Amino acid sequence: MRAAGRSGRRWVTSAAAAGPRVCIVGSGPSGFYAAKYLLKTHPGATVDIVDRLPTPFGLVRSGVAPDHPEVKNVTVDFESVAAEFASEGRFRYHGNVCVGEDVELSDLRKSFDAVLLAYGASSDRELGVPGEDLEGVGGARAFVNWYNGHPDHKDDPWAEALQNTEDVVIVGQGNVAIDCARVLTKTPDELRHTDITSYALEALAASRVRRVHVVGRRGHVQAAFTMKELRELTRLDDAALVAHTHELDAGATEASAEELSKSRAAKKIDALLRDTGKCLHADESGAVPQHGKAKEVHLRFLLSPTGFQAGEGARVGSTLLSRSRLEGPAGAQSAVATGDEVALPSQLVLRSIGYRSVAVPGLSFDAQRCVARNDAGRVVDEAGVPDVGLYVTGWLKRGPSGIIGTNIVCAKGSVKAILDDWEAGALAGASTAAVAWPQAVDWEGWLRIDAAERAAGEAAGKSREKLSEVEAMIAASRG
Amino acid sequence: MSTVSLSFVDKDGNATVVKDAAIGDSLLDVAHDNGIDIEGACEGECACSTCHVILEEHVFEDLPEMSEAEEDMLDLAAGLTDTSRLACQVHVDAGFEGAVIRLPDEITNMLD
Ligand SMILES: Cc1cc2nc3c(=O)[nH]c(=O)nc-3n(C[C@H](O)[C@H](O)[C@H](O)COP(=O)(O)OP(=O)(O)OC[C@H]3O[C@@H](n4cnc5c(N)ncnc54)[C@H](O)[C@@H]3O)c2cc1C
Ligand code: FES
Repeated sequence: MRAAGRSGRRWVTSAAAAGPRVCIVGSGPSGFYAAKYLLKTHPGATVDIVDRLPTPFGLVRSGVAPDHPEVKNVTVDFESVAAEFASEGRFRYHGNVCVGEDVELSDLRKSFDAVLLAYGASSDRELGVPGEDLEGVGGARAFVNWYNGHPDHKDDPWAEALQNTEDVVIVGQGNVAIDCARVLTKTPDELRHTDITSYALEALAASRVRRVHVVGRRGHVQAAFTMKELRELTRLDDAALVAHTHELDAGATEASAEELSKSRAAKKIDALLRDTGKCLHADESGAVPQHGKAKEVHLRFLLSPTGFQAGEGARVGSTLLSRSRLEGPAGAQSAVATGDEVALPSQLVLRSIGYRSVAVPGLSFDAQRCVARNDAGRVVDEAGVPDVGLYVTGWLKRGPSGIIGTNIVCAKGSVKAILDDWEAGALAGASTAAVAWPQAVDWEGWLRIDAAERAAGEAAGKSREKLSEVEAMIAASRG
Repeated sequence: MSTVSLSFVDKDGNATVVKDAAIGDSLLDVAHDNGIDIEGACEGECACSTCHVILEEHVFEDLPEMSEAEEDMLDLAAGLTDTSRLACQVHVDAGFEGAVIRLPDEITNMLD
């Protein structure tokens, strides 16, 4: 993306409107990477990032597990981009401004040459099975947001649920599901020095959870978790990893063997799950070999939830599942119900089957896929005609999959669309009215929040003690 | 004396020659010191796979074996090859004299 060369000269010399004034909505990885490439590629571009929270970085702050601090290092890069370009007057941050509530998209579009939507996928997918509305059935994302101090979930009743739960069922086997299983089974000492919120650490220390069942529709060869996350489950201080031999065997179809031969990652996962030194094997009755640890993480395969049954009062007591077998060719095997039913005790259920983006008013939205209608980052209408000046990136553009690095290519593509349109003269119509929101937290304000959180963390022997209330964040931002 | 000459080639085939890559430095540090466009999102902690590079077979073969952690992270890299490594985990040694290090094409999305 070193596009400056040919047209860079013209951009630098045309003084007043030297480059596009771009507003980016959302300060997660996709928004911040887009800011970085816009600012680095076009010497005249300016970027204003708006986020509904006072604090930046999206899921890097509120999603990534507290015991994965290395993953959050990406904020070092984002902060250096902000510092470099804020000092040039080309980067501004407006936290605590929610698009669709505090400001309409249509107003933003009047004030900027281009608006790039990077507000992610905040809504949870549901299973649509009976009993899903029972107490104790919730979204994994809400649980993650709770232990990570997202203001929307700080007051969720998870502490109480953990006190009343011995068996947790997690539906779905992606990395978020594995994060939850790990956080639920780590000892307080394994989490104490991380940036997990103190209220969550306390609640987890008082938790009565003994078993976590992580349930997937398909077999272990098709599993969505990564080897890195799986390996971590074999290294927990006081929890054992358990697989059920008959489920591994049921997933070992000829097509699965072919899939294994083609994927080194799946091969490693298969080998680890078969290794009784690393992963205990339960028999068909569910009996687990002796292990002397306080907790167990069960990876369960070829099971599809069909409903939930109440236990005590309105609280969920068990998860009903139907067994499946794999059918179809390698690479396209699907889970087909065998007719056998299984019930797993569960006083707490976390749904981790994906997310949905929601539309802000004025955005062309594909309600089926739950992403913005777009062509390589340009928002388009149903007929594919671009809504000139409006762009998307990140989960709102591609759907909720991929890791932080996936947003690099994604953001570069959207930035290219903006700069191509700018160069073509298509973005010339925006007025230059300045934006100002009295409640906004600026970049300096975030740096003060950051310093306050680090200082509080240091006092508590942690990397950071997050503020989890908007009012407290605003107070800290004012120093 | 304790440096080698090597080059980075981006996905469009543009080469950047580094005449004095210090033996012992990580490939990621060498790249960043010389303005090569490799992300390194986790700052070299083997936790992101955005520093994926492709080595020549003879260079790859002569390197000390990679750790389990690097192998696991590489699973997530876009455009993985048989001679892929993470630049933050590979340290320059004498075997890098004249080596050509390719930056992967970014077409395939990570874990998408
Ligand atoms: C629980 C969890 C754990 C993860 N762990 C990892 C991991 O370990 N490693 C890894 O590589 N990837 C991980 N990922 C994936 C990674 O977080 C995503 O790929 C990435 O965050 C997507 O970036 P985004 O910018 O599209 O969205 P987000 O990160 O969600 O950012 C969206 C931003 O928009 C803001 N926003 C929302 N609505 C509005 C509005 N109306 N107005 C203004 N602002 C708004 C939000 O506050 C947020 O800051 C994880 C994801 C989840 C859910
Ligand atoms: S820089 Fe993140 S894995 Fe190398």
